[in-house]
Amino acid sequence: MTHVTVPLAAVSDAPARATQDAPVKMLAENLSVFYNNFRALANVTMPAYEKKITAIIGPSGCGKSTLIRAFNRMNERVKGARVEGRVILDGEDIYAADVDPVIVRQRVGMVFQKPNPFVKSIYENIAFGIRLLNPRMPRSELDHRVEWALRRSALWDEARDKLKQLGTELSGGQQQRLCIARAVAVEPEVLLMDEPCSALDPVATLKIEELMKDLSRDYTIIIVTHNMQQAARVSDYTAMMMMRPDRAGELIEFGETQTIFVRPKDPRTQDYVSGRFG
Amino acid sequence: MTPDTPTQTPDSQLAGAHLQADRAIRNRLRAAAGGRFILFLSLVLALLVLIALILNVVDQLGGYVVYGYRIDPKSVVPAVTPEDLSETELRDMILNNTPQYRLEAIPEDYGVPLDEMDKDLLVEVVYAEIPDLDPLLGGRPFTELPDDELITLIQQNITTARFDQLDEEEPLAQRSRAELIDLFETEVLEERVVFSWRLFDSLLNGPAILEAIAREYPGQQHELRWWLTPEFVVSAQTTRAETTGLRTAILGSVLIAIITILFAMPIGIAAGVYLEEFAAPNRVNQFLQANIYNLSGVPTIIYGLMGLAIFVRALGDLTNGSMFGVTNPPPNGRTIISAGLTMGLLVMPLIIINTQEAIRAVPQSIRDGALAIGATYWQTVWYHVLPMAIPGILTGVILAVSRAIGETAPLVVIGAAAYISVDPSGPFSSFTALPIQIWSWTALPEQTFRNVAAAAIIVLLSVVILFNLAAILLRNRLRKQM
Amino acid sequence: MTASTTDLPILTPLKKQASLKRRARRNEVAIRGALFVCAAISIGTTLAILYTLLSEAIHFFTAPGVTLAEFFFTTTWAPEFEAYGILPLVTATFITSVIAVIVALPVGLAAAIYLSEYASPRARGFLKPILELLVGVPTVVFGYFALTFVTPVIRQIFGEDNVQFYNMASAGLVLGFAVLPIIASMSEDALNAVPRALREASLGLGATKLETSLKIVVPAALSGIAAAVIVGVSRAMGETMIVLLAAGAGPNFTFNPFQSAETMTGHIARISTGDLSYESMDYISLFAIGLVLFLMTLGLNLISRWFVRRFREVY
Repeated sequence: MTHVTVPLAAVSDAPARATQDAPVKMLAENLSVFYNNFRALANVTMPAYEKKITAIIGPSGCGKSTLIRAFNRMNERVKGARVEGRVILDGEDIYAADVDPVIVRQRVGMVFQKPNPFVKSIYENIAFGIRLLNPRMPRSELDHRVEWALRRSALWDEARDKLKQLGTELSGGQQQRLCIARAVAVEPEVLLMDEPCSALDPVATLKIEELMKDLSRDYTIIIVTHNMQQAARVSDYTAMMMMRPDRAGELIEFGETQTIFVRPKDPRTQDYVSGRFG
Repeated sequence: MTPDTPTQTPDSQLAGAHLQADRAIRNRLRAAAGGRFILFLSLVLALLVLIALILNVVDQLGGYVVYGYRIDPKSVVPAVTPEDLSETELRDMILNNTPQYRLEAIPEDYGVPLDEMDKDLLVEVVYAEIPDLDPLLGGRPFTELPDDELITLIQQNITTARFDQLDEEEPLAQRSRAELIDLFETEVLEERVVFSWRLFDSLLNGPAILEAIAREYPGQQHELRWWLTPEFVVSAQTTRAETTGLRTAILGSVLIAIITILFAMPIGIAAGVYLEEFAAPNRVNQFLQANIYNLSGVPTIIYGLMGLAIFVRALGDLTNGSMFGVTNPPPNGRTIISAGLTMGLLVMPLIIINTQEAIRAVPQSIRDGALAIGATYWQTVWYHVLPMAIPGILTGVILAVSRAIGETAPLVVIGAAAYISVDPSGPFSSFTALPIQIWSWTALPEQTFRNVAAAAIIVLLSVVILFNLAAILLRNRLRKQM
Repeated sequence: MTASTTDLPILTPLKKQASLKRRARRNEVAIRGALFVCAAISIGTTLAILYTLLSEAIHFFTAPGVTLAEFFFTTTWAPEFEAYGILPLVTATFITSVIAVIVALPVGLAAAIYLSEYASPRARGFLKPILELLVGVPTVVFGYFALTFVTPVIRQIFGEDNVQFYNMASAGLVLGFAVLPIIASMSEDALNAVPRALREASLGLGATKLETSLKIVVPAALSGIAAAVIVGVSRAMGETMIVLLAAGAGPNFTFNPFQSAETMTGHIARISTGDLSYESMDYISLFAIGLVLFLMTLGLNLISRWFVRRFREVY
């Protein structure tokens, strides 16, 4: 992959939005993830500040996806996965023995790399999550909430006339916004986005980026991205990850996005953000 | 697809100078072409078997038949005495059976002309003039008997049960004369096929066969008979090939299939869901999985033995319904429900394995999507995975139904009695089924039963092939979508 | 473009559990338990089969006058004369199955090679379903075919004096037709699983397609094909209706395929349809035969599964 150096202009508006005062919403503490005997993630400690966007960047295979999936216990889907360390959500360890992963995921939603709408109508895609929380909600309120979620993810204007159409019939970018709408409909506090634009064209990508900034007024967002311009454009904080010689991923630097991109402390970060490898 | 290979190039194009020199290559190419042909031939052979099988069945579906009576009508129609006959009949009898010279002498001998004789005298003349009366009197053709006499004869010569059954279908007194005669022929005289020709022979050599019939079976009824008729499909079973029908067996098969599916479908799908979605890869679950594969390979007759020992024998009081207060239960557990449960256990691995495949084909991303918004495992499976897997699961269920209808060996072991003339009335009835009937008819030596079996095979095959075709098409369409 | 907050309908927050503490999801646990029970019913089936076979077989072997040695090594099966040698039934099963495989293996494998290596996708899409349809033909129909078509043909060819009306040759031949689609279908799957790179390498070296198929692809798929053949043998041994109708109705210790003889399955089916008293030796001896048959087919199926697993590991 060839990279151009990130133009400073792209970074310029990020520092203005980052404030050290924001409280910590989630915190990974000494987090290691194992797949059977393979250690995929080693001792990661990083915060996610409330109502800020935190980007996780790094070269392929460095464990970015593993890390983000550890924030709402989605790693448990993989057979043989095991976690050491803690992930704190508002002071509670989500990996504690008596914690219900289902409740964790109600509060920490996730959007995936490839848009994965349910093979159901647009309306049902969103109503599903709401009904899980309130099975006996009157139809009018449900309609109301579906509309709210679609508006919140900037899809209402395009979808209002075809709510009965299959979600899978939308374009790629619309599908991804539908997935975001599906996630925000259950009113999570944190939104995890695992390379949400990697399958989209530039125009659709731009829309999602704008949407992310808008959503960060209400939600804490963690995003994995392969695209450094994107990290620079949208995030307030950036976590830089690398793969160790034993192929476990580790966090080598965390800080305000501006700092990471302009004055990184670690020379490897410098090399990566300036496009010398990756 | 693949780059052009030598086999696809005609020999003529290969005749370049550098290749021509190399005989070895040419021989290899020839072998390649020959080999390809042999491979193709094998495939054709496999398909030819299917065609031969079907043609062989069709060949016995119809053909010329000659009928004869197993019972001599003369032994059934009661002899009459001359006293029973009317004057006209007596007069005709004398006129037809007396030599001319005697007829001329009669008015002199008796003092009265034949036309003026009274009945007593006529009777006297009959006794005196016709030496061999019996064949004339007893030989009254049954076709000329009045209706009420026919009905009486039918009643006298068949079992009460059979008569009641016939009378219930339609009161005999209300039936037309043609119907009564037909009934008399089939029920009393046991009209049967004495000789038959195969279908293709009949169609190709019709005139020659008709000639042979006229020569060897003069005066006997014959026709080009079709064994597979709507009437055959809807009639009850009898002991005679000419009159038997499939209704009893079809009802048995349908009831068994219903019980099989009611039993095996929910459990099989649930087991498939468990193994694919919930089972951790531990030893217990690996054992469960291996066990299911092994069960799918157990010979079906073993299932029959198991059903015989457990459902028929050990649970006989349950499976014949006596514990449920059924009146007049069958003497043992050889009933529809025993057959259905056994068949259910037999097809369950099929449903489980197909369910698993269908669930495995649902993309992981769908599960991720549901879990990520806080759905539980079961909610994810119930609302998203299962609906997407339904067509695949359905494929398995259709195959299972088809199997339940066509599988014979366990039914033969459990059902035992092939001759059942009473329609099954519910799960606790004794039964026969389509494949049992095909087997028992085929095993009989008479050609007519082979004809009947052929007709039953067509019915069974069309159902089974229809089901399998539906399953195959459904699955192929799914594979393309995935 | 992004809707500003003022456009949004006003919502009351959804009610959620405040803490992350595990909630008792009783119905979830119950459903999971019920599903497990359903899966475990298959174990129940296996146990039921084993229990019935074993208990009656033990009953049989402990009966006066029956010994294991007699059962396995003598050649007369005649319960009415208290002769219980299973060998004639085993040899008949063996002979019919061997004939079946001799018929089905070359034809089935060749058909599979053609389908997988030569047939165009369109031809394949048409031919494979027909092959699969053949799998679905009830075996009683094959039995009819054997008795009313193949037997007369064989007797005409080899002479009615040499070939008995019921004979193992006819039953074995048709048994072969019946297992052919299974062998073809499984072999085709195995051939298809061989990576394309292997074929292309061979074709690239100048081998013809036939040479590639026979010398490269077939050997590469050999364990998969072996699995197919073993499943075929196992099916042939366990099949009932064809041998019941065409092979013969009485045990006969012979190796002549033109003679009539009764297989294990045929014997079980014939005896169990007669008038049976549950305490008779006739009845309980069926389970001893069934046990032998069960173990034989189980062994074959396990070997076949082992081959499949080995094949899967390679690719």
